[in-house]
Amino acid sequence: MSGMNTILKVEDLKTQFVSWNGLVKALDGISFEIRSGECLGLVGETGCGKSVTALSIMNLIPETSGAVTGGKITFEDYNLVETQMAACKVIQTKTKPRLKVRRSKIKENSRKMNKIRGGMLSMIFQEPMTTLNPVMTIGEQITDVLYAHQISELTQRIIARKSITEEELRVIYKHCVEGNDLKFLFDFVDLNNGLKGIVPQIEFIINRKDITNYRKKKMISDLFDKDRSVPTQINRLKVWKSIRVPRFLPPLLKQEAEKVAIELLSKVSIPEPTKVIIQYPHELSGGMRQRVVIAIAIACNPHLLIADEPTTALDVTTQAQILDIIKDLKNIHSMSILFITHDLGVISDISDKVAVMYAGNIVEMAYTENLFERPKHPYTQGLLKSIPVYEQKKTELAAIPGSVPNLVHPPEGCRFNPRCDHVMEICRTTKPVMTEVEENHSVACWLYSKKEEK
Amino acid sequence: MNLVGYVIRRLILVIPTIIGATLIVFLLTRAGGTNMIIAAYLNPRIPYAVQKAALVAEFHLNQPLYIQYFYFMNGLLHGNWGYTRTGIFSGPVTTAIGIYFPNTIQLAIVAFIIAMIIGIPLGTIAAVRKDTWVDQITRVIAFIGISLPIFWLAQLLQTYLGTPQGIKIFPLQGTVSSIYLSGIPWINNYGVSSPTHIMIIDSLIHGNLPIFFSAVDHVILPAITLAFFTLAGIMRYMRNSTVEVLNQDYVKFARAKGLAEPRVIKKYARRNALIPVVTISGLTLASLLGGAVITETVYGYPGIGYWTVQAMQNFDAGGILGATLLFSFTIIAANLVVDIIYAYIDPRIRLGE
Amino acid sequence: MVGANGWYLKSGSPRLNNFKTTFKLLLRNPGSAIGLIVVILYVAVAVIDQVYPRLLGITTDINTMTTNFTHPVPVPPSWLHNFSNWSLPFGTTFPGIDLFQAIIKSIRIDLSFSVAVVAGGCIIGIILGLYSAFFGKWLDQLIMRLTDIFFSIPFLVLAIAAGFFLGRSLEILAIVLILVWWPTYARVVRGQTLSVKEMSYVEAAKSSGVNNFRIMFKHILPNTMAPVIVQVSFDLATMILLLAMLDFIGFTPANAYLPELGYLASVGYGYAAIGDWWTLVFPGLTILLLALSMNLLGDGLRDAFDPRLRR
Repeated sequence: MSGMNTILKVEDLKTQFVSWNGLVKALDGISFEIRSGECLGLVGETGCGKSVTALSIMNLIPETSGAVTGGKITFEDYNLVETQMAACKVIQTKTKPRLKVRRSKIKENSRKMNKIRGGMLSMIFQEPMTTLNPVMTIGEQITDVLYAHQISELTQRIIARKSITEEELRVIYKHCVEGNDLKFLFDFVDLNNGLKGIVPQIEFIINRKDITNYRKKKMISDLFDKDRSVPTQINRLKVWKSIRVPRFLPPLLKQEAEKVAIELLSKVSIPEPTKVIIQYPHELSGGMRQRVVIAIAIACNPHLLIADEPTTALDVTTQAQILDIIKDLKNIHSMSILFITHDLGVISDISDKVAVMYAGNIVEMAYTENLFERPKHPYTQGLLKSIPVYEQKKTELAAIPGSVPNLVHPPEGCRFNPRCDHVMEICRTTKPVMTEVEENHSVACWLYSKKEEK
Repeated sequence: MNLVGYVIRRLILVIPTIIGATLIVFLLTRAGGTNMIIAAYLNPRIPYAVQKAALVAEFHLNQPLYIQYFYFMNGLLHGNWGYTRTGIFSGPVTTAIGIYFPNTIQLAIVAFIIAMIIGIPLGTIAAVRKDTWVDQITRVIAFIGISLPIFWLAQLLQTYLGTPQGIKIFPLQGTVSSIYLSGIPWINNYGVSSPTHIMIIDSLIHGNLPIFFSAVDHVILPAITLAFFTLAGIMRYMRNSTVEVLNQDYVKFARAKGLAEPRVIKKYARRNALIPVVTISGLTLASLLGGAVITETVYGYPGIGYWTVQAMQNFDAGGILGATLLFSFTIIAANLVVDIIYAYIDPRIRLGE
Repeated sequence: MVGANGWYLKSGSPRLNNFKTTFKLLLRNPGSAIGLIVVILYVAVAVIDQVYPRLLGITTDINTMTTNFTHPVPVPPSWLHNFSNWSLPFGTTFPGIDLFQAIIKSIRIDLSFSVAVVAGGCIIGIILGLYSAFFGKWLDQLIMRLTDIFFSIPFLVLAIAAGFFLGRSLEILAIVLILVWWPTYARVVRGQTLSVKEMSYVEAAKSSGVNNFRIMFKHILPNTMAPVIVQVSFDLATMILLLAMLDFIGFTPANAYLPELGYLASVGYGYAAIGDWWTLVFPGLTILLLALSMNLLGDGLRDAFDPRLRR
């Protein structure tokens, strides 16, 4: 909650899927924004469009099944949906909807997106069992993303180690041991040209919890590379900006990438990372795989991390560990997070703000405490009532009657009206809009709009 | 991880398969009864009574079935596969196999390579460009390939590319032009060369370039026929498995990593998509061998299939039995190789069972 | 993503009971719709030829097909010279028989043979596959090893050997092919049964005391049929091609009175080289069209049964 500048802004996003029996209006104009360093929780039942939101932001909606049909997503300075919408359009013919795909635009779009995806914007998927490629080692899968986005950082690391003098290193480690003065450290390397790449290496060693200070000191002094020659290929790669991986990577770079992979794995607290990078996904447990996925997602220090139900497929103890890792990312690295889940407990634990989704609409959005204390929308109230509470010795849990509606033919007006206890005439005809009923607490329901009118 | 352990385990599994396969072939020969097998091996030029006694003694027909099977297996293991007498070769079956099998291997390998080289990229493109015109065209080609009777294709190609009926750009049949069939000491009258029995290699060994070019010319049409037959299956399989793989989460995740599309397909999709293609390539080889029988017959290419058909038309029981066994053993061996490649590609398999 | 819709099959095992949907989906694909029509046409021709051949313009019965030994040389199709003359639409082939009649006769033989083999193999395979998956343990191991063994025998050569040692007739050929054809179905059914077996409705049936036989054939079997039907339609094509191949190399006892498509093609082969193309082209095209439409139908069926494609 440090910075207040908006990092992601979604306005009136509409995504539709073409299905055999009609157009599935999966997202029906949703809007929200995430500020830098903030964690927004997106909750809702299965099939309400949470994952579709994430995929729309990442531009990963398969062009064979659906498309973003309207709205705007602004991520930092980029408009993420412009070319996507041009590439793939939904056409309503007489009998059935159809997708019109323009290959050239798709290429243009993916070229544009590939610079953003994985680098500034990354995503954790729900199912760790299927997210990792079964036939590639963990190491290969992590280094792949580094080659795509971080060639220049990798070369800087090598060059920094080769150009640092023993004198400079001594200064650095003195400050590290005596009081861990990182601020000075960063200023120091900024002044000395070519030392930028040393920072993450030292930072990593200092942040390690499993070794003593003496060992840290030794490791930092070991960073000095006696071999001062920099291969010309490495020098040439210094300002690499393309997302195309160069065909022939110098072996030095591969070693460096592996080193970074090990650092990343220990960042997500995987024991024995050197062993893990030569293992295949099937040799790891579900929790470990999810950590690897997180490691890949944070490999390039993304500005925004989308976590699509990262804990749903795991058992409870592992869930807590994964949540801790994500909390660390938020608190220590001040990463902005869009956290998607159907688990209200998890949401209350991790997010600053919550958006409640129902059938492709956001129905309520507020700060976490406000939402849990004073839920406004009947759907949110129903959701909260359906959580078991230990203190209350009630025998029965309240459930919301009915199920999520068919999105091919959604109900007219408010999509929640068939299941709502407080349904009124207007709910069946007109769709409510988001209105701010309290400060930073908006809700899309006629119950509250009505009151305001009165 | 331990590929060696897997290979050993897999090798042990081959033994029951071989026993089962030979047992089935053995039972097939014995199912018609004693008279049927005597009739099958009868040589019309020798008096019946003499021959019957000899055949009963040779096959131990007065013993119980399991003893007969024991003798049968004993013969197989000692290299005694019986005798063949066809128009193109008379003598021990093992010798005939030694002479004719290399040609079939050559034909099969060339066809398989052509099919793989064309089929895998086309299948991948069709999957990536799913539901576009590329997909539709490869689909039509694949379906025609699967449904085309191979002998008909061979006949059409031969008639319209090998005879003056159409455009004569390829030789009609055989392994080499007939002008070389006499006078060259290392080629026999049926177009089989020595020492490796593969004309292309032998001509290079003997340093005879005209024969080499003629041999290459002769292999093109049979290889194309066989390849087309195989291609369809491989292409379709590759397409379907790639479509499947492209929907997987790890491909989505690879895209989410920001990798360029060609890299996603080459590194993430293709290797996974190849797994099912590799597993069926054992079956593909079985159908390739079946196709080789027809192709070799039409093109008069002296391979094992040609020899089998010769044996059938000459009522040569020894030859047919030998061919059946050889084909089974080839498929068992191919399946073994396929399984090992499979384990190499897919690390999950090595841990299995 | 779109799982909210009621018709979406979460089970992953396609069912036959929504036949109407399947049929609709099948017809939606132009390829498979054409395939279906052509297959029906072929079957109709075969049935009519069996029941009432006069309808197809065949006035002779099977034993008096017009052979013309004084003019055994093929005569070109009549419409080549005079477009309005359709008396010999496909011309004649050796020995002077009407190719059109011969092809119609052979369709009947080819179809009935392949249906017999596939049906036989299918039934054995289904039963063994069901038992194998349902009872598991050593029975499963045994049956799966058996399928391994049968898969390693090349059926073309085995058919030749069988014909040689047991006698050349279509019946023996059919029996031998059935014996090597069942493993495919056993595998397919076993795989399906293994997944269906774990479903809660099977558990429910078990816990309510239904006997095993009834569970297998009433509750599990219908849910394993979709891939079997797809496989049947592919195998029918394969079998037609196989029989044609065997006939081509002179294996089955086909002759001018009991013609078969492969035999007709191999007869025409010799004449095509001297310019009588129709003797080779028409029989081959007939096989191609039949096999092609069966394969298209199979492909369409597979798509129609695939729950993921019903989105």
